[in-house]
Amino acid sequence: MVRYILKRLLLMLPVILGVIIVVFTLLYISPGDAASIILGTSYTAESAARIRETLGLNQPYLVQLGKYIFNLFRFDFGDSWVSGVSVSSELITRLPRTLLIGSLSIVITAVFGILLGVTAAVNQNKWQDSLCMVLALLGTSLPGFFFALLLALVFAFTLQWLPPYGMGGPEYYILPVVANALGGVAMLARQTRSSMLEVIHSDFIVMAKAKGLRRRDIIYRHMLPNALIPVLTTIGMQFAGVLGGSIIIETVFALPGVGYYLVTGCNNRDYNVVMACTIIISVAFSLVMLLVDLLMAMVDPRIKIQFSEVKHGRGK
Amino acid sequence: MPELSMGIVSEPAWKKQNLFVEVIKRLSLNKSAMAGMIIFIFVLLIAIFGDMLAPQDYAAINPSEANQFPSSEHWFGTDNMGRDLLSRVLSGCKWSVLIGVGAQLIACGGGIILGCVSGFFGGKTDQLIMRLCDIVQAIPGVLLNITLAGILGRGIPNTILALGLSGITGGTRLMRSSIMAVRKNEYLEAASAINCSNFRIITRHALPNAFAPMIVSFTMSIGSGIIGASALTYLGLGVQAPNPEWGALVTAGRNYLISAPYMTIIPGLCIMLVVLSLNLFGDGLRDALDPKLKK
Repeated sequence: MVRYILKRLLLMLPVILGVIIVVFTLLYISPGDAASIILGTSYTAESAARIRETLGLNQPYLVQLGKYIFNLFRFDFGDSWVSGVSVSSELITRLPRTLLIGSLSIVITAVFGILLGVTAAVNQNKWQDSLCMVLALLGTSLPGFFFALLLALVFAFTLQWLPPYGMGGPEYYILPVVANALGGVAMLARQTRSSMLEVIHSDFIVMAKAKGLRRRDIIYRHMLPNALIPVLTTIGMQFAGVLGGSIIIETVFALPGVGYYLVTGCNNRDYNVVMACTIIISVAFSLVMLLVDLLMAMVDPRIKIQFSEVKHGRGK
Repeated sequence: MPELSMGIVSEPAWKKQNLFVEVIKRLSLNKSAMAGMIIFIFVLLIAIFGDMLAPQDYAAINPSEANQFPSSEHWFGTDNMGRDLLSRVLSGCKWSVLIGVGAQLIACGGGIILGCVSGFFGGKTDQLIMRLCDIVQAIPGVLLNITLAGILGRGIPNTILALGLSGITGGTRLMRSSIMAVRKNEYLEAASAINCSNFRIITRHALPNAFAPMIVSFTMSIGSGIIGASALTYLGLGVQAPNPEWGALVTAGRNYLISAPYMTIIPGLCIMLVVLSLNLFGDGLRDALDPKLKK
């Protein structure tokens, strides 16, 4: 297992390095002049030249890239062009909020997605099934930000139960998390239903029924564990949706996380911010995917065996 | 020689038509897929004729009628500048559909080319393309959309490009796997034995037999393209304000969420309806094209 973890970690490094190079290159070749953004209205040719000199923007591409990667090891993303504040200090305060929204959303996604899917599958072709699947279909068709606006309209403006936007206590997180979980719940419910239906007619289920086990035990101890592997893969894939979705949802609820920072950076053409946010979210995503894969290896012995075969070969 | 090449060309064409008829037959039995198709055809008609159907000019400002709730005169109400929302929704339809379809044409086009090359040639080319895909897919989709849109700038062509480019990796993986599935078939060996060029083998023999998953993916992704475009517009990175694209209508409505909620809800429901119809149709198409059902 340790070997597997190490191998996966090593495989992750070139991907992250690749992401950094791709994002850096894209922003390097795109139009947008740092000096004119930093100076704003007080733009003169001399001061612009001075700023390019101090930022090292006159240097060749490879030197700039090398310096950027070198600085990354010290968690230094440079300063924001617009506000002049260090990007990494902003990220340190903002990242926990985004990760909190992401992890809470994924928990809600997993719980409600599996519940809806199981309910639909065990009541196949009854009204519960139709209801769950119609809800799931609507959920996948609804744009996340529109659902967020509807939630704000109902729970914040009309009922006034929850704050509509901003930052504060835990109540500020409820609407963003619910809005962010919607797409995932819908997708997961559909996946759970179809993989539950695959095991529901298996012989061991007939056997469990014949033994006279309780219905709840059959569903949660015999069916669900056997249907769980594709469901876990879907949950893993939902992390991409949840992290990406949180960018939009944070903007809707004006919640100062990494996503809101990124969108502000994009709108201001503040490339240092855009680059830092893209890299940090991608790294977070890669780490989470690694965790999901490790979890999968623990649940599904077949995956672990693929990697331990090499070891056995050498041992003999 | 003419007879020989005739024989080879007409064989798959005959088969393909048969499969096509078969798929249509299966689709027509699927009620929800048919409902989805009818709704989408309806949306396409609105996209084409929306400007003619619109009761008023979508840009006509009329401050005396601002912020009216839906009524018999203005079915969808009016916005903050007194513009008729029904006309705006009808005229905006073509932009939403155009962005969704355009983005997927780029994504699927790029995906087909890269996926065919990768899946057919294998080896180092395949390794290179797949490692690049790994890197790009380490960036979550929405994030890639936003970053690309931020770099390319606003406007409809740039939005299409941003959404299309970020979809290429998904298309590549899909196409690669289905090309690899047909690659070991004997008719490809036969084609290369009669000295077909690689290009001809790919386009005439491998691709037509590996195309079904791509059609499903194309149908389903148009919906996510429309959602993606509206989200970009909402973030201020997509379509610009005077354009009545549906995402822009939702965005314009958010400032009047309390006083005029219909300004947000109606265009939002329109987006949902289109995406829903495509999802229904795509689900049906996937089932109809499923080779497991073939008898």
